[in-house]
Amino acid sequence: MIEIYDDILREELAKIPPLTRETYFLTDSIAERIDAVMKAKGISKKQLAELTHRRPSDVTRWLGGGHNFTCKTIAMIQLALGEKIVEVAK
Amino acid sequence: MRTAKIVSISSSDQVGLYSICFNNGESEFRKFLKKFKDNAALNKDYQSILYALDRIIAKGAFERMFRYEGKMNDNVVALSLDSRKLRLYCLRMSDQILIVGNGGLKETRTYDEDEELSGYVMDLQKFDELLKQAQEEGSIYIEQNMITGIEEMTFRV
Repeated sequence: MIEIYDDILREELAKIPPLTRETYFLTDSIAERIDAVMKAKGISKKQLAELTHRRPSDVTRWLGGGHNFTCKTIAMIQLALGEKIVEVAK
Repeated sequence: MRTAKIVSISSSDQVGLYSICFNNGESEFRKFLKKFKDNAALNKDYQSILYALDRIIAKGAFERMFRYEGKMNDNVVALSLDSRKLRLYCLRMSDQILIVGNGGLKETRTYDEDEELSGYVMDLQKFDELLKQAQEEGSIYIEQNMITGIEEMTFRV
């Protein structure tokens, strides 16, 4: 049960288009999975940045939830972590 | 000396969102929404903040969703967004409690080079201390997604 007590926030959230909400759900789910694998393997943001040759601030943005990942970035993270992040339904 | 109260702005099974009202005025978060909701130049950033809050309300305020902005020993954070311009500062008390403050356009390298932004961060740092003190004194209790006793309290900042 979700209650929004601030009327401006309620109105602004109601304006989010279904496609945007679905997109954010997917990107955040990918971030959640990366975070879970990092925690399970004891890999820090700094280590993942080194493994993927990116900056730690890039890893922070990946984990934030709203990053629109390319397939190439996901493949790079999968290789670095040695775990599947995304699997396509068959 | 200002007085301040904490008000609830949203609650779900996953998270309780609160904000701060100074001198019985409107909440800091409401001021943020009013300030940016019709700003065409920052619309993309503003929308990103709304999407993140929408997700937080549905899932929880997880550490990965934020970047630390205050000092090592406080809970002051900003939403971690792809956008690098607009900042919304918060106090993340747990995965289930988030106090949402004010924010603005970050045009300097660090927030403390900007008088307005550093003011918002310092307000949250002060509040962080007051909340820790109130918890130690037993005036408030954090229970899952609720801060019991908080809405009856008036703080002096």
